[in-house]
Amino acid sequence: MKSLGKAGIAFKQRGLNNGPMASRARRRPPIPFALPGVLAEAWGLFLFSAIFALFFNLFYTDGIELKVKPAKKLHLQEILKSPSATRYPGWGTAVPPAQPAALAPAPDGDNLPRLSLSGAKDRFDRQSALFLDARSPEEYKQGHIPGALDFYADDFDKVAPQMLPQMPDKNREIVAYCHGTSCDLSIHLAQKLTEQGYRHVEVFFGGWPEWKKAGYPIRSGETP
Amino acid sequence: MKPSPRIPPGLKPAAFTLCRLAAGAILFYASLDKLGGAEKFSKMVENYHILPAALIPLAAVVIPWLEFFTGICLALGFKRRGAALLFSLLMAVYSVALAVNLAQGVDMNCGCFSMDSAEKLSGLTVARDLGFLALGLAALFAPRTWAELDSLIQKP
Repeated sequence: MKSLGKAGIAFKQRGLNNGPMASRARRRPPIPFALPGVLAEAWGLFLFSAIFALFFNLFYTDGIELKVKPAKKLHLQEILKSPSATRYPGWGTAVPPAQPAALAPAPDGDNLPRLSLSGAKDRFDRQSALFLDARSPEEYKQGHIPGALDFYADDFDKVAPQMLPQMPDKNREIVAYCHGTSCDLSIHLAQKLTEQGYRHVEVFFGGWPEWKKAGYPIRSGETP
Repeated sequence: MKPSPRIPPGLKPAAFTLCRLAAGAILFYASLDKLGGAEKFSKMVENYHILPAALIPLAAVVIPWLEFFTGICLALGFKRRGAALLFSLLMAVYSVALAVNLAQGVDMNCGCFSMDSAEKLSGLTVARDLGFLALGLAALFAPRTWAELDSLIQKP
């Protein structure tokens, strides 16, 4: 073995390449790349997966509805007529007469812009936006963004008659938030408000946890 | 394909094989948390704001299973090129979707590997998906990889 030297090793390597490995490689030559074949394979795999997925969804207990249901629209006029409206004297005058444009079908809720923490802080600093806390009143009392109004989104129909008159300007920037990315109350709220004709509703998706973690000003109690 | 003289023969197929296995494993793993969670996943898809509302449930139902089967096919080397093409397309779409949302300063969950809220979107996420895309392209254009079903099935 020792006497083989460099030439010997080279010879051995060549030998290997021509040996059993090489014959195996010959038996399995490179698979030629043919685009139509590749596309057909991909399409087949896609179709198979899609059909399987649809059947799975059909028979799976937690399957979802594939048709999109239009969100139930709540019109300002209905709220105005609701019995609770009479309990808040003067609030009807605070709202400009409902214009057809304001009640026109809102853009889809899923076009809601999302705000990052810095975006929310920017609006907070400029005091340009109205902050809405979509969490429950208890959570709001424990702590909220200063200036934010308590607008519990789960009770939108109940809360709206009190809250909407306080925000008559439909062109005002509105920032909705709740307790972070695991919660969709802010999205619900923003969707409902958009349906009501508010044009600049944004969702601060990081919400309360992110705000608090960043060490930004907070306030507790019922004062906004 | 003529192997370049500096790379020892055998290394290239090994690298390609690794790419294929990694891509398959990644996609398979990524699909697991989403299977059966269509409702939650549809919300994540919705958050990306790139699909029209009518397509969101469909995508939420199909994408996890597409990832699942594509991942398996890649790992086994069955219909390798088709699977690698799908993988690459998926990664390209994900990268673009992530980049678009990132550029808009949208704060959202990635929903890439798990549907937990902890998985935040960042520039690294986009870079990672582009890395995955490279794996997919390697698996797509590799002349041959080891231990793949395609080679075994292929008629001599």
